[in-house]
Amino acid sequence: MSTSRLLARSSWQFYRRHPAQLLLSVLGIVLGVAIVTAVLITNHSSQRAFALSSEALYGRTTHQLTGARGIEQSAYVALRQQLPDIRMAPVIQGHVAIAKDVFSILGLDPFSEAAFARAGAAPERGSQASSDSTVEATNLARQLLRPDALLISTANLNSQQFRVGQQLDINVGGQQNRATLAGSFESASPAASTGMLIGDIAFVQTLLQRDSRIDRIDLILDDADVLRVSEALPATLRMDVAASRQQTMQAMTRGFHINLTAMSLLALVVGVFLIHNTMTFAVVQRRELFAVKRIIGISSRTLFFTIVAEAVVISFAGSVLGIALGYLVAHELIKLTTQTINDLYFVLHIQQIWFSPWLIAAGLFLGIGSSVLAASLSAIDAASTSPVQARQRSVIEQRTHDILPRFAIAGFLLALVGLVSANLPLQSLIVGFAAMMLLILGYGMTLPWLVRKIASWLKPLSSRLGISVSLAVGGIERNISRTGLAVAALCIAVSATFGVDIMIGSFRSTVDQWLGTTLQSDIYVSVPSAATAQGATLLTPGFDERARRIPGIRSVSTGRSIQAATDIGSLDMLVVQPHPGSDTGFELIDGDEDTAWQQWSTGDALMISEPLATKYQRSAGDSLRVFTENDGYQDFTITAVFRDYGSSHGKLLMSRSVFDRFWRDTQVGTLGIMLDDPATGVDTIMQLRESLATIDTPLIIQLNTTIHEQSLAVFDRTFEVTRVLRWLTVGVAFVGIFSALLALHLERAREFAIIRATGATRLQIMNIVLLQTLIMGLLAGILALPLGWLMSEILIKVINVRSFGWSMHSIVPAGSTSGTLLLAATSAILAGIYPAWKLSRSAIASQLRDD
Amino acid sequence: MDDSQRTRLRGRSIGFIYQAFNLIPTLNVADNVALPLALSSVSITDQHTRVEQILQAVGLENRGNDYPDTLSGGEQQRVAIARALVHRPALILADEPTGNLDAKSGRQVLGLLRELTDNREAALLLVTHSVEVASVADRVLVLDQGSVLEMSPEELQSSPAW
Repeated sequence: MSTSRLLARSSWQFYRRHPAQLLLSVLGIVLGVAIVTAVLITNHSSQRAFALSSEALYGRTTHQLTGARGIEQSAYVALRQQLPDIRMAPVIQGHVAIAKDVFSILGLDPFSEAAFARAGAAPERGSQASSDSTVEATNLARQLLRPDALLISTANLNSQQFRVGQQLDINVGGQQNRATLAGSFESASPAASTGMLIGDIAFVQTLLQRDSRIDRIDLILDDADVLRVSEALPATLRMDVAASRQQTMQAMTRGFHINLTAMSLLALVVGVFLIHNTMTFAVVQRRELFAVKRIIGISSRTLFFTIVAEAVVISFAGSVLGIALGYLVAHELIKLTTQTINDLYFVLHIQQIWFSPWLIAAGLFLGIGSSVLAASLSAIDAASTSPVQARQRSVIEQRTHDILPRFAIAGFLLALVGLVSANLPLQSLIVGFAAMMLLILGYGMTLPWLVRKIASWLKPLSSRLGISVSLAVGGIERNISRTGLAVAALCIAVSATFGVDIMIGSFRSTVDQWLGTTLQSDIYVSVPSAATAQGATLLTPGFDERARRIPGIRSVSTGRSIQAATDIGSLDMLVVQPHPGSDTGFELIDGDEDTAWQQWSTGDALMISEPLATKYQRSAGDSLRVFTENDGYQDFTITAVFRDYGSSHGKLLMSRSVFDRFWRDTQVGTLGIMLDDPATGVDTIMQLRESLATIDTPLIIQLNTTIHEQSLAVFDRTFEVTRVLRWLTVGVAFVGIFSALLALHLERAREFAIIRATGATRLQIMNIVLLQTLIMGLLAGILALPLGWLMSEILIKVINVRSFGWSMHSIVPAGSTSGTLLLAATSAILAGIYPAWKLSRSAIASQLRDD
Repeated sequence: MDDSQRTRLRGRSIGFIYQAFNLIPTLNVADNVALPLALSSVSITDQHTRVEQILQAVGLENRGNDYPDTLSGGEQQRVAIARALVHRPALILADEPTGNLDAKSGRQVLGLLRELTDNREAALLLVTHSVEVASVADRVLVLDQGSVLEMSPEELQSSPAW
């Protein structure tokens, strides 16, 4: 039999006799790979769903025409007559609700759709599907002949939620409407069109209350036609490349996806520590066996590759299981992610989990790569130790003691590089995360030295506190190669919890304060929207005047949200008429407060939110070009930058008086009502509802406290994903410290057998072990506090600013510090229970038997 | 006897001496010796007094703060002897106590062991492969091919088989 087969058999026999150890090795890899894979799948699925929905919505569109407030259909007719050879199609797009489900709805002109290949009507019964787009368009037109007809995607129809001919109750902005499900449509990718309805543009225009307007005109243009078409456009229309709108929307969620990925990589880093622990123990346990093999004649090189080969086999099994587990976890993670994206950005349906070969390759690469890296260090140590030294148990600890100071210095320098990099005046998010990883890695490298130092300081005190304490503390220092790493792994995981706690707590506190400042009115009135918070449904004209006449109401402010086209892309713009005699409630962080508001309300001026200022490097005094309804592109002076946490994409703030000069839109979307006596809020709400009995538009009328609570609830939901990932990371660390403690105490089984033989009871042995794990847990918790705080500073001042453009004050939430210590101590104690029990019950005689 | 009864018996009535010394590496010499007393909840003051006495008896009164890995083999075995005797057990069990020592250290340790057990009126049960070591005993039991034979130390030394 060849040497390699013999060595392989020897390795297999070792793991066969130590199944728990094999299980722990595999488990660490499984958990680390599972978390990373789940996040990769989640990110990829949501980005793919977005790309497909864009394909379904835009088809072969190359360019789009938009207006400041939609496009008058007469302008479309005129353009059509002027450019009869250009392929163009009018589109209305929105969201509606059927029962509790939100659907995208497209209003199309069937006779213009042929070239755009967005969707073809599913063939009627008895007929064949056609590849001819003209025939498809004809089918579409035929099915939409009924004035209230809608088509649903084939995927939804096949899910048996709907049937052809069914009457649909459609909710649009709180108003109920009826439609008939006339059939289904197919698109190139069924997953893309799931959750979508198509109707005749006239019917959808009525449903979405667009009056005589359409949302946009899609065009298919050759390069030669672009100039001709742009010259023919009136000043009230602008032309964009179709892809740019999609890129803008995709950019909104980029920061969110990167943050999610970074959290998962942190879990992998903790997992790597765990793998290193278990692989090292498997090597250390067999040091004497390796020594015998070396004496017989096996080279150090062969030994090295044997250990690495073990790591490859174990990590391959762990990675495959981890990918499978990650796939399952992704199902739940996607639900949380979808909710967050819908809350904060736009409606997104993720109907299909995308699982591609490259995801499998990434999972295998991470799992096997990190395991081989972790095992290589132990393999090098085992291969480079002389056979004589290998038989001396004290050698490994002595070598560890010797290299710890150098390791700590290298770690300190690495952490310093991380801190300096984080403070560089750059915009790169990747650099920010790299800096944080360097900090974590560097700090982790100093921990074993710190643990040894602290244990040596505690030793004199411990000897006065009894034999159990003395043995517990002594064991930590003496076995630093084990204890140091276990404390480091737990410390890093717990510090991530602490750091993220501070970041979320600071963010929440800042948002809470901001809501208190911004929600100046006592009551808010708006119209319910079927879509997310980004929806903008309008109040009936004249409603604000009716509200002003209600007794007890001191003043009414109005708000209107529109999408404004600017020289930096399409942006949300809030048009505000504040309460007379008061400011708007926005906190200015750049600009002269004394003059900014004055200029804002009278000049050609606006304000921009902090995320916008950060992303596009604009500040007070700069200007911004905005596409207006009356005069096309106009320059507006930025008078100030205001704090806003409502949108990470950025927002413009314009005074109503300025808006009215450049747009013909007189409608409002929300009212803010100030009362003579705020205590009469509830009664006033009832009065408002009664006085609207003649108006058949349902309203949302809420106290500012209700909006405040709901906003914080959205905030809490947003961070649910982060919390889940954080606990998964702690779970990985728990497995890590469990395996480290098990390894440590099983290595010391002989030592504990001596103590048992000398007269210690089982309970005393358990107490010694548990005390040691408690001390290790407390050390991990205490050492986690400074690292966690530093991580939170980077998260708050670098990552958040670069991801979302938001700054915030930093606070340590009450109970966070003690909670962190408790988490660390509890994790350690729980991890120590089994090793303590096992040691207390091991047979004394067999442990003391000499080899 | 259940486990707690056996543990109490070991803690109070038996002292162990091993061939490989088996000192606790994370405790210094004084703490290693004090271990049986600490496990039996003897007061700190009594522990100090008795540890000092026994260390003096084995000639290591100045090494109390040192750790086992700084001691020679003979010194480590003397610490082990001190630990085995500090709680005044009725029985000492010694497994090849000189097996890992050179001849000179072995003779020193053997002499010390004999002297201390005599002074404390404890019984010493010693296992060895060495005729020289066995010859210090009052009684010798030889395990020979499954049979137990009793000999006197003189008979053992003069027997051609050994």
